[in-house]
Amino acid sequence: MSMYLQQLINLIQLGSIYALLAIGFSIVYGIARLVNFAHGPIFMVSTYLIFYFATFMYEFTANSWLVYACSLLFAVILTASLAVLIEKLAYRPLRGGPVVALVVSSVGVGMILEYGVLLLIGPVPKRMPVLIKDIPFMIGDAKISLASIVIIIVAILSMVLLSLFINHTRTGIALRAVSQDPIAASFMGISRSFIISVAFILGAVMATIGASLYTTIYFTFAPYMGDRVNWYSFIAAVLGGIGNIKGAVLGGFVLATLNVVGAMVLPVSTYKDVLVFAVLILVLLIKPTGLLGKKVIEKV
Amino acid sequence: MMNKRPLIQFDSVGMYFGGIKAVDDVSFSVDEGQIFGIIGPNGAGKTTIFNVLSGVYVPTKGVVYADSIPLNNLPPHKIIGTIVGRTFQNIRLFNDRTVLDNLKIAQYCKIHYGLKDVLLVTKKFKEEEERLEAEAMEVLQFLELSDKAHIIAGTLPYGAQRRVEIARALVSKPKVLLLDEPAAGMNSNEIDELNVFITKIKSDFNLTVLLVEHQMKLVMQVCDEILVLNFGKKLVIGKPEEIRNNRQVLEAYLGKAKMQEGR
Amino acid sequence: MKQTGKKVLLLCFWLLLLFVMQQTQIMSNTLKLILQYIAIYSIMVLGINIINGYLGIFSLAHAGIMAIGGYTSSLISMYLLKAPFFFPINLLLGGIVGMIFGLIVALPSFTVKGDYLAIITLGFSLLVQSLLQNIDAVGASRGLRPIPKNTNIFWVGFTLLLAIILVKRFVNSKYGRSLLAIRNDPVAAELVSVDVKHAKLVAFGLSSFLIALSGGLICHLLSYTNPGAYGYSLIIEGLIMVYLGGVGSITGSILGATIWQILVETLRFIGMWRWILGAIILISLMIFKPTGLFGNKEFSLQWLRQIMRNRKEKRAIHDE
Repeated sequence: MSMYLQQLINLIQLGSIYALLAIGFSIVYGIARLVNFAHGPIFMVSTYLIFYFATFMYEFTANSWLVYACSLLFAVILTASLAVLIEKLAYRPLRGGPVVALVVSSVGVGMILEYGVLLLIGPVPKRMPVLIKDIPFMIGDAKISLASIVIIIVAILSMVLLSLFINHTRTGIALRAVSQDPIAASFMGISRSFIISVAFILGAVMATIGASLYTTIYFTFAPYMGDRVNWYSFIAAVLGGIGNIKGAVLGGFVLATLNVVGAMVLPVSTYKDVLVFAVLILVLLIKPTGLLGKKVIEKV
Repeated sequence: MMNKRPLIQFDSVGMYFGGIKAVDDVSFSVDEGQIFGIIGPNGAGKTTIFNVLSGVYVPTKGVVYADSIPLNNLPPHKIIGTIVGRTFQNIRLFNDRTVLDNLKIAQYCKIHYGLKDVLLVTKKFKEEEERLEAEAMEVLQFLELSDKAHIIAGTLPYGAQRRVEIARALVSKPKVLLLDEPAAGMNSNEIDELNVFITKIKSDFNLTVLLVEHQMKLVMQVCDEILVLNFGKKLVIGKPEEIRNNRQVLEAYLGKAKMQEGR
Repeated sequence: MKQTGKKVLLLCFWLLLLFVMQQTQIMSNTLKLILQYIAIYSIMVLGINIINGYLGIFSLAHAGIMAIGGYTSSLISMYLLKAPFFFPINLLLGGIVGMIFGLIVALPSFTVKGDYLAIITLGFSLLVQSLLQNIDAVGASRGLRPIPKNTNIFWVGFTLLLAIILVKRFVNSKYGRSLLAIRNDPVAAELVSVDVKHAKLVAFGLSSFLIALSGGLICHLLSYTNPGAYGYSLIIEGLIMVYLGGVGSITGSILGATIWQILVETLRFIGMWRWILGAIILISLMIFKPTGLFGNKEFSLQWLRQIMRNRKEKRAIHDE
């Protein structure tokens, strides 16, 4: 019983993190129609930013909440700026050209970030200082950690705030308009360039928050983590339907379920990968646009 | 007098997309050698009929026959090129390919060699390639496009592109030609030329022609029989003289109110 | 007949040249090695270009296929058909197994859209790598060693010529033409009688066959292989070479492989920074010439003559 409760908490915790990652990726896709291979590396960079600021702050205070809040703020601002810079330099010049060019360019950007950090900082994995204090407490037989609850709360809060932003602010509504029909939106006076920047900022914000939560579970991080994060974000987003926030959340939880259940049931970690891939193919065969994706009927 | 038989037959065909009935219980037949027009206001289901005939859509209800063969479960590439050839409302040429290449691509189903022949450059490969080039050039000649054979299709003027599209539809020697709004954007003189053109290729290539069109001048002049659709349903079918003054047809196009205040 | 005679003569000359290069000391070993790298990657890029270039599908499956081809032929060389005499057969078998997997990769391309497909093909490569890393029977993360050093400049050159011939013939047939049509407008292609599914299968089949061959060749060159070699770096290198040289072009494929391999060799001293360089090259290419240096064009005497003619015309206009 208690093991199931623990696994359930694990699942919700992991699912919410994957959901955040997938949301960030999906927003950029929905607005800029780009499979952003730089998404994971941007996540990785934000992790390092959090690390350095947190380490720095810990020399002045021992309050982990304060450190968390401040380093998160610091990292969000810098990561968002980085994302906007990338968009202006490597993506905007390609708008209107072949679609492949955007994806390939994002691969290049991802590489620069990954190898840049690798060469400038070093390949040795680092350990994130504690951002969310872990106080284990018992529910019956089950050992639950406070950190898990906080992670879940932070993730849900982020999604709620995002939802409020998208549904109740002018920029948010403009965002939805561009995602549905960019040309019509431009006729309404919505600047596409501005909205694309907003999308990248939101993506970066989600990634940074996700990074802080991710490293609370998996303490170590290294330059190559971007690849793994990319893969998780892609799968979760595709499962639910790329460009669709609800889909990203669903996909995140499906992925987490597969991972947790897979780890319990299957002997070797590889078979987990096989399971995930098999489920992905199955879902896409039945619903080629993802679980919550919209079917596009091509006009002949 | 040729014994005319139905080449195309729609038996109570319905095409439903969720709640929308694009085509609803439509039955008609087209005899061999006819020029058959399909008209109706926008959204009436005309292009849907073409899409069903080309295998793009599988009819939700009913059966479509071409040359007595039911088309319902055939993929487009099996229908096109054997029985049917079609053009598109918005010209869909392969813009970065030459005119000749556009035709060669459309001969895919008529090329009878396999990968083995390609990789080993067998006699069959060479013969087939020669044959298809000759046949393609022949069609281009008929349509007065020979001099444009090696020009990139996307660089041609609109009128020439339309003719290339028709050439491409004809190169696989279909029995039925589907023309989707061939008169779009044409003036009165051009429509007269198009009339002559359609009649000519019909006899030269031994075709049955189905025509979706908005330009009434062309429809009335060139068609043997006309099907009028409205909201996916068959309104009336008949010869041009019958359709021209048919009250229901005029109502469908102009709306009941206009009818009452007009004539 | 004269055409065939000329071709046979060129073939013999090429084989003789390869034989001389292999058996004698005319070339330094380093040069021989670089040429072999160039040739092997040329074969790989020719394969990738069929899908990413001519067919226009953004596929990242090449790392996985190369791994399958490499591992299959290596395992056969190590355990089954050990004599060097069997080398071409082992390569061929690796190629065929790779081709079979390539046909499987083709299946999602029937229904799934471009962006999703890219992710599926990425998943394929990552999955293959993951499996190889965890299956002990093929050495897990330790890899396979020692693989008999059967690759030499003769086999490499011969396979390269074969690859060029196969691709050239493929492109100038109904298959090649249909790929370009599908790239342009897949719905229209289907509606002019192209059997799109069949064409894609054939394309993926030939593409993976070549990529798998290149995998076999490189494993027998290095005498060692491990799963780590078939990850993101390989995926990205493949992309760089394709987009550098030119999509939809045989010349481009070879050119891209040549330029990148020479860069890698001459800039060996900058170590990992070559990836940053590669990334910058990639992004610049996308901004300035997304179809690559020889995109959709081929080098031929006619092409050369046309360039000369254009230059003459330009100069004539200038002088006026």
